[in-house]
Amino acid sequence: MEDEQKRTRYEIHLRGFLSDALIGAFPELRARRGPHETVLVGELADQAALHGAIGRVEALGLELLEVRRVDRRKG
Amino acid sequence: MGVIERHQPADPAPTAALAPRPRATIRTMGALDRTSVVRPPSLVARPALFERLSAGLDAGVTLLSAPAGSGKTVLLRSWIEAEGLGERAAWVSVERDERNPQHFWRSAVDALSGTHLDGSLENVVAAPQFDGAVAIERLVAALGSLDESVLLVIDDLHELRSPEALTQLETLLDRRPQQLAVMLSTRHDPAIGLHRYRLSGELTELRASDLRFQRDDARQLLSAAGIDLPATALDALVARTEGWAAGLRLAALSLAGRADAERFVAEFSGSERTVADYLMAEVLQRQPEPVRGLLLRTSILERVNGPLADRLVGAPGSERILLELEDAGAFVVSIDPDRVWFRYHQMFADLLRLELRRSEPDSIPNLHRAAAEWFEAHDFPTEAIRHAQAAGDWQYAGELIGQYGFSLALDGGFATMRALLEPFPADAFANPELAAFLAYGEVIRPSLDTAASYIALAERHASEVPEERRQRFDAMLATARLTLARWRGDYAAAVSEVPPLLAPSEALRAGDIRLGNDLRAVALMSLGIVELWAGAGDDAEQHLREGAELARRVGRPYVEQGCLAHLALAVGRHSITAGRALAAEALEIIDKYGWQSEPITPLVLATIGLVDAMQGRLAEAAPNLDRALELLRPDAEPAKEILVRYARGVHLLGQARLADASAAFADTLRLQASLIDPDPLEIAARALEAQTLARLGDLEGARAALATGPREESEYAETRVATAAIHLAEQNATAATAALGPVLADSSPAIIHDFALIQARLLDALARDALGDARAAEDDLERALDLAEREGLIVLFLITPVRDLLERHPRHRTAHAALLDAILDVQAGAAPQPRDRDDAGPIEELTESEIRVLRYLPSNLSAPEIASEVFLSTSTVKTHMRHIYEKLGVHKRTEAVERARDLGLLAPAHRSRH
Repeated sequence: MEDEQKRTRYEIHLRGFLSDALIGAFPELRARRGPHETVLVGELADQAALHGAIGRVEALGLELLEVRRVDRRKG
Repeated sequence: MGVIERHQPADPAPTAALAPRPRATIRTMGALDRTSVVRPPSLVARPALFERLSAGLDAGVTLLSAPAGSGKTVLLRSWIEAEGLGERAAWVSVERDERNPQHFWRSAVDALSGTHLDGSLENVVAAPQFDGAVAIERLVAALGSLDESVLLVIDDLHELRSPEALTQLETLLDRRPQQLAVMLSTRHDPAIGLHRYRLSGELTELRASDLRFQRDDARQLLSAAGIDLPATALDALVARTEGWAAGLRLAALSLAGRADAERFVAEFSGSERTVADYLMAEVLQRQPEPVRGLLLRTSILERVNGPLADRLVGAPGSERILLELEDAGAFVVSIDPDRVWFRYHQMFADLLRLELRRSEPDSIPNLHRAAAEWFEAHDFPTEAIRHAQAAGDWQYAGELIGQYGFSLALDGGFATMRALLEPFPADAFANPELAAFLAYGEVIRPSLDTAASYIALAERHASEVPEERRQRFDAMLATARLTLARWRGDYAAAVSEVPPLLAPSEALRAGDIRLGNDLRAVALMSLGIVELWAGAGDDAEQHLREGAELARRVGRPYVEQGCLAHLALAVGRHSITAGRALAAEALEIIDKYGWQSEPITPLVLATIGLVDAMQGRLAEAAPNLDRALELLRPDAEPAKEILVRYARGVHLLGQARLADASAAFADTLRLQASLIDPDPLEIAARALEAQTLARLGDLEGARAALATGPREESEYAETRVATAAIHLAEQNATAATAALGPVLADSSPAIIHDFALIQARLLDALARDALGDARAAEDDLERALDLAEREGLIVLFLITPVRDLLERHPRHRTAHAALLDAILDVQAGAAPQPRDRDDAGPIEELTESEIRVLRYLPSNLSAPEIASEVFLSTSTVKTHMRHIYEKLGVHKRTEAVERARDLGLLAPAHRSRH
């Protein structure tokens, strides 16, 4: 089980170059925009927050390439 | 030139949207979800997919699972139109983030009611306390009885976030009658077990790859929009959008009227931006300002119509724009046959909102606020509340809840209300109107301490409520207090809440009359219940009757049954038969609306069971009493549980199951401890507990039980009867008669008057008999029979050991031979015949003297002998007999007796017994 107290850092890889308006849908994350791929990066409180973000990816018709947990520090 | 100018206005009757609509009832969103007429935008015939959908219709369950913008909705609508299925198709669009199962099923039933299904199911889904299992059961039954088949389409199923509702949907699929086909459209696979249908071949699946537009589909779509692309550009466009329907539609909008179509496709293909993002920007940029403004500013709405859009954009002409957008297949789709209301495609709405947030972030709260005001002015309180909340205007949202919350709760259920209350931040609860409503909600849940603190809060801030809403607020607060008092058993304090409730409703604004009536009916119910439990039965009867009538008049069956259920008890004080009839009326409403799991049901069942037990129908009483106990919730209102347990005790006592009866009465008494004021049944229960213990031989325990009551209780008829029973058990007949004296002289207060008095007569008969005064014993017994005859109170003859006396009772001298037989029958284990049969055809009512004579007809007394018994002349008795024969339509004495038994005018004949 995830420890809900510890925020975890995630990367969400999306296909394509996202406009400012689209990035505005993820205020809790920062965006690294590449030509073919946009990576949303940031700390999320828990799994529910992650699913919330992925839900927005789905709602906006964006293509999800990869989700990765990048912070594996032990708390 | 934008897309809008190219399309002809489709509907030349814009007045339809502006015409005033009836405002008789409060509407919720559910009422408009029905979409029987669908207008697919710029149809693309996709024969291969249509064929698969038609096959799915035959197979049973179809799943369309593909990402946003894949064209699921348009495909389904086009197919329904192409196949002419409009009349048979019920279309439900799940609302955004739907968490309320009741609201979901209400939409489904609304939609189905537009097909062949009649409206009877609406009752079940409109209950304030919704029972999903019952609703599904009824739905399955109703669909199973149809002559024709029905298609239920559930669009945007991914928005259904209620696990309960999904489970219920699974049940519906499992038990799906053959008349029902279901199509589910969703962005991701739903969490319901579809694999079984996949295995059994009942499931048809269309997924993203199936829905993808091929070259020919795309060409058709574009040419419908008047666009003709060269083959290479067409291929490039299909490749760039990957056949994604939304992308192609946006491209079509963007390409319309462009001279440089190929260049557009080339630039688009060269861009790395996401398809929707790129094309939305293109499309928006090409719209004239009024269209652009409307798209952005109305994107905050779940649904929009012309006047509402006018309000948000601050200019007229929106309706025309909406109609043209739909005709162009752009962004919106109408959701009612008259094309008054429109809904955005969800993905487009999301994209538009993001653009609004980017370009004019400061306008958003004002837009929500304007929407809230518009919805309030047009009687859509639910949406008004949601938008006031979205605007962050908690003061306004709180006022709206205070004003409409009550009726909304009655309309659409407490779950809806709770969902509306959830977003309020903690400090918003200082709003007194909101607090008063919350207090009521908390009591229902119930969390009594929280309720009490909301009540205190509302009281503290009461002066902030503006004058015009003050009366309503007072009534709401009083109702909350009364309801809290009910749960705490703090009755005396609660009755002081009466004055504001009885204020005349004329003072309300005209538009408030319905709201006022709702509140008034609930207030009368709450008041009546408290009065009932406080022992003020006459006041209770008056207020509950008034409440039941008002509730029926304004169409609030939930309140009506609540009033009837308690009125049954109030009326039962003087006529248990009439009380039972009222409880049966309440039960009828409960059954009709599927409210079996309501907290009130145990009370109603216990009332019916108690009367049945009292009238000796012990076998008939058993299932109702068992069920009452089963349905009793741990957090039930104490007075309710007391009645249920008391009724059980009487029933057990009637069967001579003394130890069990004693336990039931002990439970009743234990519950009393949680009440601030004593419940009237406490005295009756204690008395029966003492009697039961005495019969079990535990005289010490019996005395101890009586001694736990307060001193003044010893004067009550019930207590005196119990004392007499103990004396009799001790063989002290003289002391027994002394204890009974005041009861027989009718100078003791009684909880259940006849009940106590009859038993007093029976015990006195036993005592007199023991003292050797047979004549006095006989006289007592005859008087007991007199009292018991009216309501058939047979049980008292079972719980008092008078069988011997009854068998010795001289049959030729009694006016109650039939009742006597019935009692002996029940003692022998038989069921008495029903006394109230209303199926026996109309007859002219017998007069009182005729009935007196009728009672002697089963005996073997001759007319002169009857005459001497009833102190009349022989010829008068003969006249009465002739009238009786005429009215009953018979010619002989034996026929008269038989007919009178059928009609319940006489107790049934006694059958052979040992």
